Amino acid sequence: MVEDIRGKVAIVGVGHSDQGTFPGKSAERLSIEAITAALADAGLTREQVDGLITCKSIQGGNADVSVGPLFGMSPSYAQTLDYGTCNFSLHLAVQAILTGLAETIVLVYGANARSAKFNYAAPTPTLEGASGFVHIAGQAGMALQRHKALYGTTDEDFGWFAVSEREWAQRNPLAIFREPMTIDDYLNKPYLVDPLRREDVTMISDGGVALVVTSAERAKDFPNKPVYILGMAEGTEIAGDRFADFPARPNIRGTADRIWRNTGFTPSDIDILYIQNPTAVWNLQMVEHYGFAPVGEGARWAAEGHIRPGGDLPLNTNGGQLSESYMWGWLHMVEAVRQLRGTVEPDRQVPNPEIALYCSTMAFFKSAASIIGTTQ
Amino acid sequence: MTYAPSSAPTPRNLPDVTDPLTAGFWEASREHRLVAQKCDACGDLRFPASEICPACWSDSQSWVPVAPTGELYSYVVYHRALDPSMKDEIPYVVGRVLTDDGVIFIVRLDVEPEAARVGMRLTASWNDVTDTVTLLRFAAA
Repeated sequence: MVEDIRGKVAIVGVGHSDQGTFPGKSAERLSIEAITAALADAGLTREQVDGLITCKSIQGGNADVSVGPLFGMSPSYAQTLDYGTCNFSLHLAVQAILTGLAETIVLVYGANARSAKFNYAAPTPTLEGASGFVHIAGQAGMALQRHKALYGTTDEDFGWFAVSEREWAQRNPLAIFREPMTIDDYLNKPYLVDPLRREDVTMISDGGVALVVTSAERAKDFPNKPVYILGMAEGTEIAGDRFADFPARPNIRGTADRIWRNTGFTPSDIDILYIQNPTAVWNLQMVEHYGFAPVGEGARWAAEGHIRPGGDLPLNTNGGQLSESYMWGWLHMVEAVRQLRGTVEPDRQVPNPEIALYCSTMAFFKSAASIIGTTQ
Repeated sequence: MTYAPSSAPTPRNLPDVTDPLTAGFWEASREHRLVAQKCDACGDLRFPASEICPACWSDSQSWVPVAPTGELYSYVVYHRALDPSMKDEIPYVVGRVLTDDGVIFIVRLDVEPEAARVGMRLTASWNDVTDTVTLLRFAAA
């Protein structure tokens, strides 16, 4: 049971590269651009960092040993996660700091899948692959189609996840997709993989994102208001697709139960919510699994406007992966930190948020959550 | 290296039917028989095949006949050929099928998109693609 970490580690720097299409720039170079920005935000030089945690890009690059030569330093602690989604990476940093392996760690993700034209729909040489079951939209669509059949979820309600993210993105200068989209605009778009439209699926973009994390004692000396890690939890389904309801991802419910139990917080304590989302099905599943809406009611709940600008539970105020950028959730965490500091553009700033929940998954196999806040 | 002219069709992605782990499945498929992998030690029944039993770690596994009937857990309809070799097949339906013996198959459905329904009864059908490759499908029962 994770019970001893509350308020002991803090995020003291956040940064990112530009987001978009950058042919000729490697994932590692984009990582360095992000690290440069995060160190500047923290008021540090690279010499003052003794840890580096990198998150691999989908093509397999961006390991610590490939970022290291551009970083130009060899900190005493370095690690790489295949799929950090910022959450798993942050949890590793908390462990390293609390055990004394490192004092101040830079966490980074860099990706150039867009300009590298990575094939996200490469078929496997299996019965599934030969049947045309490719791309994350396939398995995500299975989950949504079942949800629609069991609970009467409609496109008119489900579409509000994508529409709400676009409304937030219009207030975010960093966001790539900012043209207005109403629910009628959404409903007029064709299906990509029915029941999902293109608008329900992440964009692909290049960029880098970095965080600087240190102990709470040190955090007080940094220029920005520290954002403390108040709780964390993880769960897995690494045994794989061995039961009927696998697409519904019950492991997320386990992670949710653990973070509420470990921290004593409840969903009503959360001021701003962040959900890493390769598809809008992630939003639906997680608002239900984490208890913001009853199981089966997530889309109807979203359609009530809770998650929109001005709503009582702003969700993905950066525009998420559907409208801001494709950074595997890393920019969600940057946005959460900036919202908690109170430093985003005024038309996007949520009034005085104190506690944020960030939820992510590694596809259908792992889940993670972090609660962060401005008070230890 | 040789390059195909750009007008040539993308070769269709086919499974490796000679893989020792899965060869028994493809052999049965060629004979239009539905089989699943069963653990000789504990009876765990599954698809796709596993090198050892994930339930008891026995390495003794056999392909056994299973009921070619089941129900549709869920489905999706591909409206875009995300696999370009399937551009002449869209829109096509892929289903997650739970057989009456409890085995999960994710396969193409011989069902029109408008006719697909979660929970519908299905029966195995077979698509002979080449002399060596036959692909399992399911159709309305």
